[in-house]
Amino acid sequence: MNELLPIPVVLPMLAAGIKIILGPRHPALQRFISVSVLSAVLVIAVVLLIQADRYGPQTAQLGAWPAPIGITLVADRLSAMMLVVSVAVGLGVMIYAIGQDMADQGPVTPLSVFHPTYLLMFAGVIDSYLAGDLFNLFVGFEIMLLASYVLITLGGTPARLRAGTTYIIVALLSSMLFLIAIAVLYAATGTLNMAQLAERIADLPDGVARLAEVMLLTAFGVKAAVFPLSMWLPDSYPTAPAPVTAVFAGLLTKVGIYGVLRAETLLFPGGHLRVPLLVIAFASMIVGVLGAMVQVDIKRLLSFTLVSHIGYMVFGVAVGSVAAIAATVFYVLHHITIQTALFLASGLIERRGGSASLERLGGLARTAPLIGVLFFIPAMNLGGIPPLSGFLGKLGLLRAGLEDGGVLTLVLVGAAVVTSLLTLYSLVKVWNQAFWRAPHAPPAEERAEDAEEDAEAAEEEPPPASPRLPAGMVGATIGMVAVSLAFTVWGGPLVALAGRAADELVAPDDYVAAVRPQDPGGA
Amino acid sequence: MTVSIVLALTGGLIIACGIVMLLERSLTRLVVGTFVLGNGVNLLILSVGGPAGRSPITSDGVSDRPMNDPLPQAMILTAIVIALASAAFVLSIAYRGGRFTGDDEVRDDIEDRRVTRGDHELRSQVRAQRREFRAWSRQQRRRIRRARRDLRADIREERRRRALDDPARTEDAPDTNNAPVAPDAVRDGDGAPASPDTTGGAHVADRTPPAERYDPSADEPPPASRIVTESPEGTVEGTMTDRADDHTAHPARPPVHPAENPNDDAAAESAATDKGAAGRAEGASDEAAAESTVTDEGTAGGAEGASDDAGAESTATDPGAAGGAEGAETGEAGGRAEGAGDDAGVESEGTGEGAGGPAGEAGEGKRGRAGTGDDAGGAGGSSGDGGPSEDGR
Repeated sequence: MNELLPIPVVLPMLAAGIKIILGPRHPALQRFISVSVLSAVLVIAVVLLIQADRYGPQTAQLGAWPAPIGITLVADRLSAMMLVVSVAVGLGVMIYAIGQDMADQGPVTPLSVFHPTYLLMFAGVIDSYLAGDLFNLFVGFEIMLLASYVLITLGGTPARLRAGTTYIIVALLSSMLFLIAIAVLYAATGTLNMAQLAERIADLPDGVARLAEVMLLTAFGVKAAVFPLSMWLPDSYPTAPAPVTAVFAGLLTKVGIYGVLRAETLLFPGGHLRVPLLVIAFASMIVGVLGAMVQVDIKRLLSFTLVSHIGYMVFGVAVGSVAAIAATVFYVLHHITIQTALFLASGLIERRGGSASLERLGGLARTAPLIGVLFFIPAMNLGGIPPLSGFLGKLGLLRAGLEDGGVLTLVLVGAAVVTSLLTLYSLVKVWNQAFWRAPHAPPAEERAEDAEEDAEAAEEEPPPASPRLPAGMVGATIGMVAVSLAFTVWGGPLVALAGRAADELVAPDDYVAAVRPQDPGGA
Repeated sequence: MTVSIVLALTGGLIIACGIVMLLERSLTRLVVGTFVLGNGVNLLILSVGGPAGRSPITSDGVSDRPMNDPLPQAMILTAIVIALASAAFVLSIAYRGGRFTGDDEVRDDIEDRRVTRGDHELRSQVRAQRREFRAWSRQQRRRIRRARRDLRADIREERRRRALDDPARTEDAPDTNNAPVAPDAVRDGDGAPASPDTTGGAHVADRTPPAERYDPSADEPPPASRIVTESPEGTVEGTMTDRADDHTAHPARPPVHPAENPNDDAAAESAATDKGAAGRAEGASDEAAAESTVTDEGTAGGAEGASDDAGAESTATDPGAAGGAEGAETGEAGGRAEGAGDDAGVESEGTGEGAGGPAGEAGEGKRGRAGTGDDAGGAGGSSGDGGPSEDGR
């Protein structure tokens, strides 16, 4: 029984409550609470990771009720790794948001709502990662989603309300589907504890198990934005404030992928839905990157590349071998950091250049070389240029696919390579148009009309273009890029850690034994 | 464990109804749909709990009937609370959105519509149509100006004649008040940011003292330049596009501006202070754009619709355009009677106001508001330019 486990869940909630009581007073105290709480949770997460790596999955039975009856929190290697990376990213984005708020505080982003909601969202994310049973996973999802509803409509401008409505209704639908899947599984097996489910689902008739699996995967897939269920993401993510988009892109979709991983390795091992998953991965990769190629708005472009790279992760899950799962785990972790870094950099671009649309940007390499570097490195990482970690992750996935060798898998390997190339093309296009070309001034008529239309579309004042960027924003982006580079520098140990996590995932005996040590045969 | 088929089927039916309601456009119906969907799912979870039994409390003296399963009930409670919170939040969003747009419909995504319609062709189409319309409205304006000039020349002639007949006569004052009304009002629609009023005469009197206005002996600049100078100052339509475009199109105009600026600024501002809207309109065009979306009735959704619709489309449908035609008529037939000009002006201004509301799409909204900003009779000239863009001309 590891007593550290409940703390990362409870501490952000307590802090959120305190901050709501504090209200808009003492903004310095609010910022201090946010940063210190996230740092404390980060430290605890690292400790949990070390313990999980050395001693196996860490468990905590809440209320001292034994396993299948009570609520269990479990931190195995996968959970702990995702926890560490997520909280690190959250800390970085919090610092970015603090920098941005201090620079332009106003009615559009009220300080007193953002911080508590942000912490609550993290409480939900952490609860999702540490949940040992499906219903706690559902509750963690819901805490995270409810907080994200507030964050995506922050400020209440018409554009954000519209985008937020799309997001909210789609998320509500996926939650209902998750609930129905939970009902089906409870009716079929009589339990919701994931360790016990792992044993009992094997005894289920095939039709029932497939039904539950499809429902669960659909619910997680909506959250993770895999292809047929992904159209809400480019609709809603770009309109949110820059740090909110960054943290959503980095975290919320990865919680969905975490759910897919758990479902496919722990609950329904055996790869019964391999072919549909491969097809879906193919579609996500290709459709996502094709969508990215035609965008002129940087944030929308990055949203489409997010959808595309989720396809990579589903590809790894579908292949299902240890090597594939290891590559997937590594890819998920590294993708969190670079997608967040890219969105933060695009926030900097928007602030510096006055617009996020490629039609109106230009010449930033000369006027803001630091932003250029901060964008270039994660962009090359996303595009898979060696020796960066994107290349490592993709290499692992391709290698696992080639080892697997089926026809469909080889098609997907080809699609993965093509997608990587097209992603590189999209990002280089952004680089060319936003940074390298001479400052581009479309004729006054066009520009004014574009501004008019965008003002109509955005229905909010365009962000003030200022030559001076707040230190918080730039510092946080530098930190995020540095963290993503850490995946490159310490690639070897991290890949090995991902390999051990994959071993644990594919053969979940350790997990089950840790959760229910007194009952090896299943009750 | 046996599950009651009726319960499961009912749950499924309710879920189906909820999903159907989720496909609605009105956000309130969406919220009701989520409630219904949540209830259906809860019913399903309830059915999973097996047949009814006694409550799950262990104590002495209770009957031996089997206990009911408490876990589904706990799950249902949690799900109800979560659905309640989500629905409450969506309702608050619906309310907030309703304060912007007047209804609670979910708008289409503008980027999707752009992509489906072919963004670039659409933009060039829109620009071509705008250019056409500007050319046409420029032509109309020229005709109106000529008519006005002739009218003023006639009036001056008339006054001079009367002055010669009777130099001590003071009846000119009402004339000078009236005379400016028609041509001024016709003209001022262009520039005046202010006064969506209907009271033409008093209104005009507010704007500049009549004595200052038509002084036949003074070297007044030709009316054409006065019109011209007032338009950029007017800044009713914060349409940067049109003004910028106009400046490039008519390089001859700018030189006359500085001479007239203080006079016309004062005129515009004094009129502007009448209405808060006017004062706002004089601000940055960005603000005008933003505010038109925020404060006007036809805002967000309308704005999105407008940015995609060609300007010509909305002008075609715009009552303002009808008023414009009307106004052009009155302009050209201006020599007929100032009184007639007044009435026509009031009419076209009325329609301009009517158009200003629904046609409040931000881009078009400025024009609509320009229509409302006209003083009596002024609508003639401005609504001649009516719909799209530059009343700034």
